Amino acid sequence: MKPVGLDLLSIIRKVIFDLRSPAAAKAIKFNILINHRQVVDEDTFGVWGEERLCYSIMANLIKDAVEASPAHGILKILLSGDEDGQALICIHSQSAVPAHIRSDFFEKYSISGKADGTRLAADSAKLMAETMGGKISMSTCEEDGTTVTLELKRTSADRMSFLRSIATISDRNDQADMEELPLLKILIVDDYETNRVILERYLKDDKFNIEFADNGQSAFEKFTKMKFNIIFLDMEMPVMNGMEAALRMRHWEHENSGGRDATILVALSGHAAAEIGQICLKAGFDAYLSKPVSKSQFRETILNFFADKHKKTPEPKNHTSDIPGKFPADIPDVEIDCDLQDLIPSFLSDKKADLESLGEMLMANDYEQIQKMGHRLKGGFNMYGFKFLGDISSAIEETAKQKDYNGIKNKMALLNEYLGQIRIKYVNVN
Amino acid sequence: MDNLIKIMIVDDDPAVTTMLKTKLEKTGKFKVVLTNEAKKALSLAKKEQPSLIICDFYMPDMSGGDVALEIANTRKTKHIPVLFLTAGIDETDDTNGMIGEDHIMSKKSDISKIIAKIESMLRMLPEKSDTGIIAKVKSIFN
Repeated sequence: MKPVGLDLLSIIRKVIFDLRSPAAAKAIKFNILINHRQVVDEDTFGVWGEERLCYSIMANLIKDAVEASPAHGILKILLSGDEDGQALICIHSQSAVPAHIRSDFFEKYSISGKADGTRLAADSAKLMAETMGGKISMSTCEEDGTTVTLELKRTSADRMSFLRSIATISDRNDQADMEELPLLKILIVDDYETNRVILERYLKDDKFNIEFADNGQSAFEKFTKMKFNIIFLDMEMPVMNGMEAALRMRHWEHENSGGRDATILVALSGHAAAEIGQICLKAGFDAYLSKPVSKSQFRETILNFFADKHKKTPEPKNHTSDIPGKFPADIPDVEIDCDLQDLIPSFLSDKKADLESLGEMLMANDYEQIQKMGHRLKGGFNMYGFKFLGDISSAIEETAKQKDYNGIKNKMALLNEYLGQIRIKYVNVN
Repeated sequence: MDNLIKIMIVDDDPAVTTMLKTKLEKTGKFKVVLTNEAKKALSLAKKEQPSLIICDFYMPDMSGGDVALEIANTRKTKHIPVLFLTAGIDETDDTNGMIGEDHIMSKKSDISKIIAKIESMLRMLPEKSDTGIIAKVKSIFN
């Protein structure tokens, strides 16, 4: 397991979103507090952990709390802890655990039936918490209900802001720009309902007219009946895929334009390879997004086509202000395959040399070469197991696309600093 | 004659080819030939006749896509499957990734997953009577 600093609050939000149906069926409301105050959209809550384990723990605990809660109940999630100390995550439901299973609540076979509203399969959550060096406990009584408390290691704000800064697409606040857009008619085409819902949610605060289709054929039929400003088309769908639908749409426009402006077509695909993007553009698409599509990517695509000021003066993104001056000190040892032990010294030495070359490229403002070098560093670091260095290299590659001199310089400094401080623990992975 | 399966690696980064060679040969199932120049991939494949080619996607002298195209369009090499290994995709969606008939995986993937993918691709090789590859694969993996 490779622990990383991650935002537990975003994981909790995802779990709640995924559990929206059973929660809505019982009219259960969620109330999330951080250090006794109500959370706001901008909040994060950093912990050390492994993303999938954290998701599984929270999904287990929150799902069970939903099932145990009475109808119209309130499920409280309380997050607390000082930075760089212990993080406490308390999940409180209004039902008590039945007396006969309280003493062995975290034992594997202590599950009682759903009928009495207390099916708490907490044993797996306990194991996962311990795997991440955390622990889990429970208190319950008839008067106050049940609180399950998870303890993990807290991560500093520095670390979280660093993680945000290296995100490939910055989540800048674009609401004001979106509000200036005209009323757009948007068609979202994807056979997977979750994807359609997510993309719709990305626009939930905007006044757009959004339609959906679950395959290319149905999208084409809608397209011929009404004018859309922009269509997002998944490439891999049953009945008719996105590529064929786009070709038909362009052909139909050619034959039946009648003064109608061409619709903006955006391809969505699980393949991130640049070649796929080029094929899409040749086939008549105006843009290409690889999945998973982030909120900012999705919204920025719309802005790029419909906001005049974005068309005229695309402003380079500046990540500089987000980046801490010093690398956080709480980076754990990196676990590397012991089979590669002999290769590591020369590998790291080569990477330091690559970093020097990167500096020369930056001096020469050669962003194309920086992008290539960032990509190469990303691949090398990831292959050897230095995933975090791979992430920084990926951020360099992305920042080079924006020709952001200071952004690249800062990320190079972090890479250099981390390479200088790195501690390796060789492990047997076979 | 040894009973090892020959894998060819094409990647411009020597660190990557060295690492993959080390891990693949450590399994005791494979022997590896490699090149850090994409333009030499076809001639090496013709000469070495590997059972499978692992190929980077973005290389300075030639793209992995073009390498695979050359391999597929050449009589002596068109039967060789290609596994693209790229830093351009995330590991979360690489398990069954395909580009046309070629497989693709992320460089973020654990090496054990990459080896498992190679083995599953080798198991799916079409029956060929002339090279004896299938017999070799079956003797090692089945």
